Amino acid sequence: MTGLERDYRRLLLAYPRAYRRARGDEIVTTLLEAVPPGRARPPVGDVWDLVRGGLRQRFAPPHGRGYALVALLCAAAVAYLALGAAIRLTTASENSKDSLFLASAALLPHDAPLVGDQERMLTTFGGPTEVELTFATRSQSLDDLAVLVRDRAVAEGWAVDPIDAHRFTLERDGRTLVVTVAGGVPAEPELGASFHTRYPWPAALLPVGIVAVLLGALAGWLAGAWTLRRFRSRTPAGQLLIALTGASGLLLVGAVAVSTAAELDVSGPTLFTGTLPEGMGLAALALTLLLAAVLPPADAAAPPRPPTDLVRVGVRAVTAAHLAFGAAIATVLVSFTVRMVATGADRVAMLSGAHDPKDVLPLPLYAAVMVFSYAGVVLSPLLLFVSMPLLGIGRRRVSPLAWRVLLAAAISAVVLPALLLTPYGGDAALWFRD
Amino acid sequence: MAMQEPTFFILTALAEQPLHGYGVIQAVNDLSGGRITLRAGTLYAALDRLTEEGLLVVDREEAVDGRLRRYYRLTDDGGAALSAEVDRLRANAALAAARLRRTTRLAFGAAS
Repeated sequence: MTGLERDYRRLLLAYPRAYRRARGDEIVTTLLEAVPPGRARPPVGDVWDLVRGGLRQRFAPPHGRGYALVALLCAAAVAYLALGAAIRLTTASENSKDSLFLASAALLPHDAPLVGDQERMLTTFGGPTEVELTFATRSQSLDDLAVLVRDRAVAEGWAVDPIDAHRFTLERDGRTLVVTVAGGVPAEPELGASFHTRYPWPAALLPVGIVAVLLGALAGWLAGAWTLRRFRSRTPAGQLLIALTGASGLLLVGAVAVSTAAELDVSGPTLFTGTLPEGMGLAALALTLLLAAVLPPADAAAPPRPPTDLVRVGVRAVTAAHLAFGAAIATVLVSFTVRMVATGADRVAMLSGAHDPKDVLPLPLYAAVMVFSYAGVVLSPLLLFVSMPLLGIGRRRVSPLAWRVLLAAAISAVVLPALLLTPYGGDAALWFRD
Repeated sequence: MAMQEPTFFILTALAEQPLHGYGVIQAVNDLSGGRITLRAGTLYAALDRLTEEGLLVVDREEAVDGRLRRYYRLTDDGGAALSAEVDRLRANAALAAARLRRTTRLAFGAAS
């Protein structure tokens, strides 16, 4: 082996081992034939070209614009999750959290039966802690309540600013609280008051946030590209499974990210996203990686199959997707109804928290139904853009049974999400979310 | 979608006869009048992609002096893709030529 060949073989280490084993000798042959005679070292152009080619082979998503877009979405989703994790990890000083929580709890009227919630979330970098006191329908007006709460704050030793539209600012020991008194939720009349405390993220941690976003994006891109490369060599059934799980995960994380972004506007009443949808999204993404890792590849050595009829494959895939989403939504509705009938409870009692949906379903099934029913409300109707044309062109190309099943699946994609939008279905979804 | 120029020349190089890696590099260089010099990493990325899209297949392998040469051949799909691209380029060229002729005639009147 000449020195030049050894250099080229060393450069080929940039490529994955399996690729090197399959193509290495051939590429080295071509390189040695193409190099100008008399060269002892590889030209700089070759070095760059091989390193780039190897890295692309290892880390890039498969060729095609759609794949790159999916990898970008993965990068964005993981960047968001990484930022969330960084916020939770860096601000886990529970002491200051609890003291502020208790301080704001002390502002409430004595007779208010209260429910509290504290969430450390990305409101702003720096800025004050936001406390929102939500009162349900009571005899007092919000103006009176705001005055009452402000008086209690004075008694607690806070320096207070004047009230402006049920909002006022408190200061004590270098801490600033912005308190908002808001009207309550009519659906929960038994609730006296609830309050949420939102802690901003210290401005000093901004660099940590930037690093978390960058590392998260890189990790998301690499994991997405890897999954997509695996995805391409799986069997059609495996591909469907990976695509459904992955799309659900991205959708859930995306929904959480959007609602968090919406909450950055703190002037209006805030809706709190718990960590449950985010956790489910993360679980679905992890499951996607696992599926990509363990599902068997399509047998490349098998004799080439007769050209597959795309319409037939499409009908089968879309039917399976509709039915998977439909089954999850139906499970929510049926388990709610069964539980209600079996215990003789009414809808209000069902939502009281006494009936845990996890008692009805085993946890893994519960988690799967949760992910697929959440994602299905959006994805299943969207899939109609594929299934409706398929119903049209597939009429003569697939068996009558397959066509009818697709028709039923498409109808379920309209009916089941619509049922969740009825008051009864909404209660069922609320109950199932626990 | 328009075909990238290196892809176009690789398919053109293989239209006549099966070639091995270095053969493709030489042919593309000749065909493009020296404009396009493919390097191995770029060439094999393109060959992988075209093979995967079913436009190329491996024709045969040759072991010469302990070296491995693999010859690639255009498939029927590859031929069809290339001739579709030829039609597209020809149509574009004809369109441009017709416009140019009309402009020239307007500029110089009907004297010719």
